[in-house]
Amino acid sequence: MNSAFIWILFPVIVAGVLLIIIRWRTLSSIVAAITALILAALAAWLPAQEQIVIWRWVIPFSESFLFFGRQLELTAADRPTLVVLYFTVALWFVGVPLARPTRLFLPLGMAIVALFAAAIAVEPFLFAAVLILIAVLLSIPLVSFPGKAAGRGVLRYLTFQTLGMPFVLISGFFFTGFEGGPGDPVIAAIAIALLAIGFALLLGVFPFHTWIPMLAEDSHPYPAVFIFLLLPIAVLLFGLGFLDNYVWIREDPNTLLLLQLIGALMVVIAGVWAAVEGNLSRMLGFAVLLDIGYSLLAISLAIGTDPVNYRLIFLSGLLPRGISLGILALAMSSLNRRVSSFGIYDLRGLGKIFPGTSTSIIIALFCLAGLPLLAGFPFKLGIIEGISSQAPVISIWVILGSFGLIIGTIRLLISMVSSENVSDDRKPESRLLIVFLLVGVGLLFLIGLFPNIFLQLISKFPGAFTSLG
Amino acid sequence: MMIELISIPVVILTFLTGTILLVSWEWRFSVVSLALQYCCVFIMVAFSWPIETAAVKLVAGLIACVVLGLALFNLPKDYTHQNRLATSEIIFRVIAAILAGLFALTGATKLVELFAEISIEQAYGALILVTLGLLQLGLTEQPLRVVVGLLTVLSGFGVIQAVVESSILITGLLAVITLSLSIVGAYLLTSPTLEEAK
Repeated sequence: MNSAFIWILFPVIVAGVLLIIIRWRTLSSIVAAITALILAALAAWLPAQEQIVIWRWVIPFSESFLFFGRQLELTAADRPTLVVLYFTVALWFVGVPLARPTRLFLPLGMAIVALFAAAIAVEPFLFAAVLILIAVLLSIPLVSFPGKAAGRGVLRYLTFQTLGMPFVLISGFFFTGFEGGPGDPVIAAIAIALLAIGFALLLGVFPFHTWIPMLAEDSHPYPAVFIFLLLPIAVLLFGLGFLDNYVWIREDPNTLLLLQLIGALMVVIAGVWAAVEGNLSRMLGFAVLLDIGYSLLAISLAIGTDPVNYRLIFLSGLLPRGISLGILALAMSSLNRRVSSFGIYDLRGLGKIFPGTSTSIIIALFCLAGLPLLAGFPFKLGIIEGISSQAPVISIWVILGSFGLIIGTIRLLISMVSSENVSDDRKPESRLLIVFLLVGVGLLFLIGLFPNIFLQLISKFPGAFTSLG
Repeated sequence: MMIELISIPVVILTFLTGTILLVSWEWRFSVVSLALQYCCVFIMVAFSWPIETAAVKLVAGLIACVVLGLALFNLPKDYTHQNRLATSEIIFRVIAAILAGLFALTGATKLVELFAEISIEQAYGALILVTLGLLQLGLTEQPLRVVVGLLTVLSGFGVIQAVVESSILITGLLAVITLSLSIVGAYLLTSPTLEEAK
């Protein structure tokens, strides 16, 4: 038995099975969700030792697997990430019968998550860039539908992600032999510049951010948000690999400054655009950009000051983001068939016709903005506090960025409760959908009201981001 | 030795194929140019790698051309006419390609300084491919041109990568990316003509 078999090969096989049973949406959704849940549970509870005893059988277990001369290694330190990854997709797969995205969503989604797991596992870690790109290519049929020409957002997504990979790989080749120190300063500067451009392309950093709102507008909300959630996590974990392996980059004060400036820039730009945006799908894209900006700020704090607290803050940011985006994806998918477009003025009166869905969308957006009482608040407050102790001016800009999203959400709220202007399709909201949304919204309030319980849970993830300390 | 003798003609052919890809609206020319471009990439990679390993790039590239060609063959006949370029646009693109080629000529010496193992012909070829690919990407929003532009940039990157890295895994993964990109291109080209599943 091998960890790569369990978390990489097995999901790929299941993806093949899901492709065979693609006609039966509910069945394939159940199979996919149960598989992902089992994999998350195994990551949480399977002991990381050389032998696993199951009743009478003693099965030898290895954490590494040799593949074409390179290693795929999933150690105990990677388990928390695997739990997060597979648990998130399990929740996502459960919602498929309600959201009704393209039928390819389940098999390709499972294959994508297996590729992200492989990206975490591959040694040298640089090769993760190639695996992430393969996952991106697999995701294209999810966001571009048959019968419709490929949108500009899809083409830009494909372009930026494909261009990001060579930049990161070439910078990695420059870095070879630089593990101990920067060596030749000119080459180090070129390598860092290439690395920064590569990650800017992969993460959608300004000015390469345009694909996120465009893709949100062009595609079905469910698979688009699935990509917006998982891709930045995979890329950020890959980026942390650089900080892990090249200590001198981590200890360079310019790295900290660069991360803070880029993070703040993303928050501010996303906030300003969200405040004036007239389309809910694009506003969702800007909310995602804002959250990626906060993640960069969290990483900058993790490498700059108290690593224990801010490591927790980085991890704790993933759950509120996952739940908020899940609510938005599900609610917008249900509206997708009921409204002509997601333009704010086309959503007038929606709050009266679909109160549950509308309220969930508003609360999820407020959570992403970091409004008090909601799950995003403790995470964002922690980051703003941390930043203000180092660079008060940046923290003020970050607060203004969050306000931008709050203003945009208030505009949406005003439109939703104003006079009715939606289609005559008065088919009531599905009860199951309301239950899903209520559970999600309840969790957002629960985490927002009792963040300590949640942080204690997160702190039990022992190995995550160990080297950032 | 034989390969080194033909290095300069290969660089010139790389530039010509890249320029044809930039200005051509007839898909047959584009696919043949792309196939020729992969032959050039194979030769440039063979400066650094054994022929049998370099052949991976050639085979993957040619399969990509076949995939794109088959998708384009099945498109409605008016596709070519929709993508026809105006004469002024062709002139603009040729001038832009020449400027990109000149940039590659000047930039190649810097690349040789950075990577000691790279030959000047490889540096010329790689930079020509990268600059013409980026130019292609900057001038279009058509799926075929976007995919061809990305394949061209990745080919240029592949030449540089061959000099600094000889891992079998990364060679295989890059071949997978080439094939996947062509399949994605074929999907994006044909998806408007497909019926949505109920």
